Amino acid sequence: MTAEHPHNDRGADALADVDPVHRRLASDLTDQLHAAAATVPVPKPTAATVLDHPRRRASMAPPRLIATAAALLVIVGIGIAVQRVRSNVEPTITTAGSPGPPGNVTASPAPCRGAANPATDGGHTHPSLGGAGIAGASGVLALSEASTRQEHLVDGALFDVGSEPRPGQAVIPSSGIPTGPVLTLRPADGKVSAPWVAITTTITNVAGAPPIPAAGEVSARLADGREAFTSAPTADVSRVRFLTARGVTVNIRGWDVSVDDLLGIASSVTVAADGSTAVTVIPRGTCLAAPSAAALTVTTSSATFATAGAGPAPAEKVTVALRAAGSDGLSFEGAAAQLIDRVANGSTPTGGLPSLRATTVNGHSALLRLEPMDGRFHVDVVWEQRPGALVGIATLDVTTVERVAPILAAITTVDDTTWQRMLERCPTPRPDNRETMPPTTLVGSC
Amino acid sequence: MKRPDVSAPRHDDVAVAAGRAAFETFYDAEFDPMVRVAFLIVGSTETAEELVQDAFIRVHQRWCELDTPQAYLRTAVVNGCRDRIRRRVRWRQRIPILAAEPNASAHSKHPEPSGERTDLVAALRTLPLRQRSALVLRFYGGFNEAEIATTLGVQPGTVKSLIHRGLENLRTEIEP
Repeated sequence: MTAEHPHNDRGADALADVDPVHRRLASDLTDQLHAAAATVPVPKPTAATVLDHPRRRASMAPPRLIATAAALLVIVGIGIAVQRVRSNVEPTITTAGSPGPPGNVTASPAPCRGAANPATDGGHTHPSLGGAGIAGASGVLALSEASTRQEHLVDGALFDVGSEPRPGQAVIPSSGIPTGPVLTLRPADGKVSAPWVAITTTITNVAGAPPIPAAGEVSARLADGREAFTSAPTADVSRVRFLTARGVTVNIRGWDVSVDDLLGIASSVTVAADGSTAVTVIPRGTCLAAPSAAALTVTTSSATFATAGAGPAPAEKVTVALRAAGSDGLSFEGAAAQLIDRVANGSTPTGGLPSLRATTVNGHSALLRLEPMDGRFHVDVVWEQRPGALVGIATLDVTTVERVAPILAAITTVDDTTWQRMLERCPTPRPDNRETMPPTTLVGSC
Repeated sequence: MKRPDVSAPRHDDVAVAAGRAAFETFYDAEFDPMVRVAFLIVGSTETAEELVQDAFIRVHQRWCELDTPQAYLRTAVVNGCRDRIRRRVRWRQRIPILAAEPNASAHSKHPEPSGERTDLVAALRTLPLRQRSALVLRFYGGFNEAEIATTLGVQPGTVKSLIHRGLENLRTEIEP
C-alpha cells in the first residue's frame, strides 16, 4: 500500500517468492503500482459516512417496526390489486366532472388538436391531454378538427370510428369498441392512477374507406402495468407516428390494453372496419420529446427525395446521407452517445432507446431512432413532410457510430399500392427478425 | 475476538461508544489503502471510493460478527471490483458504440504517471481480473498468498499460479 501502510514492509517477501525470471518485472511493477496509487487523491471521509448511512439505519430498525412496515405494504398491495381488478372488470366512463350513465360519454366540443398544455385529471397529470376541451378535473374528452383531414395510413390498418361524428358525444358500448370519435377512459372509482398509457391517435383514412370523422386522444391503462406512457408536456401529442413497419400490434380486450409482449409504447389505437381494435406499439426508441441534442441534419443527395412531398418517383433510388454536424455543433456521434448515456442513466423520457428528431435540409422533420442491436447500430429515419404526414421510412444499419458520417443507404421509392402490398406480404415485424422487413422504403407523401 | 456491536442499539452506552470508536479507528486506517487497491484494479478513483465505501457499510453491518474485519473488507472490495468490471463488460457487449471504454484517466481525477510508469500499470489492466487482483494484492498490498487466497476465494496454490501467469502475461503485454 502506500508508504504508511502496515503491509508495505512485506514487499520484500513478495518479491522473494517470485520466480527469478520475473523478479525484475515484479520489482518494477511494485514500484509502479505504488507510484500510481500515490497519485490517487483519497478524500478523508469519516466513519460517520458509514455509521449514518441509510442502510445502517435500516439495519438498526427494530423488528417490530419492520414487521409493521411489511404489514402496511401488504395492505397497500392488496388495496391496489383490488382496485385494479375492479377497474378492469367494469370500466366506467365519466366526464366533465360528473358521472354519466353507463356507456355514455360527453365530450367538450372544442378542438384541441395540437394542444400541448398538460391537463389535470383527478389529481393526476395527463400531459398528453391538453388544450381546449379539457372539461374540469374529472374527465377529458376532446374532438379534433381533423375530421376533414386525409392522411395516408401506412400500416395498412383501417381506422374506422363508425358513426358520424357528433361533437360533444361519444358512445362507448360495454363491449369496449368505440363508436364515437374520441374518448377518455377512467377506472370505475374515477381515480386515475399510474400506470396509465396515453394513446394518441390521429384518425386516418385509406383509399376506399369511409370518411374519417374525427380524431383525438385516447387514454387507456395497460393491463400489465409495466409501462406508462408519459409523453412530455411539450410534445406534440396530437399526431401519431405510424412506425408500424417496426411495430407490434396487439389486441385490446375491453378497455384494458393487454400487451403480451410489450416492446415499446402504445402509440395508436386502430379500429378496423370489422370492429376489431388494436393498439400499435412502437418499439422502444420512439422520440416523444425532442432532446436538446437533436439538431442534426439529414440531407439527401438527390433532389428527388428533397421534393418527395410532390410524390416520389416509383422505384427511384435515392441516396441519403446523415451529416455529422448539427446546427449547434454537436456531432451525430456525440448526440448518439449522449442519448445512449441518457438511456443508461434512466433519464430518457420514454425509458426506451434513444432517438433524435432532426430537420431535413428542405425543412422536413425527421425522426432518427437509434437502436443498438447485434453488434450494430441501427438507425431508423422517418421523414415527415408535415406533422403527422409520413413521407418515408429508411432503415440504416451502421456498424459503429464513428462511421456514421456519411451513412449511405439506398432508398427505394414505392407508391402507396406497392407499399400496402409489401406490408401485406410482410409479417408483423419484430426487432428480432428484421430481415423480414423491406430493407429500405419510401412511401409517397400525402 | 468479538468486538462491541455498533450496528444495533445497546443498553450499554459504554460498549456502544467503544464499538463505534473501534470502527472509526478501523475505518480511518483502512479506507485510504483500500481505495488505492480498488483504484489499481478498476482504474477509477471515483469508482474505487464508491466500492470501498460500500464495502465498509457491509463490514459495519457485521461488525460484531467478524473475527478479521480487514479480511472481510478486502474480500468485499475485490468482489465489488469484480462485479463492477463485469457490469462494464456486459455494457460494452450490449452497446458496441461504447466499446471505447472511458479509460482510467478519464475517470480519474488525476492523470496517470507518464512515460515508463504507464506501461506496467496500463498493461496490468489488460489482464484477467483474478490475475490483476492477485498482482495488486501481492505487489501493492503486500499480502501473503494465504491472505490473497482468502480474499479471492481460491486455494493458496492457485494464488501462486495466478501471480506467475499474471507476470508472464504482463511481460507479454509490454514486450510484444
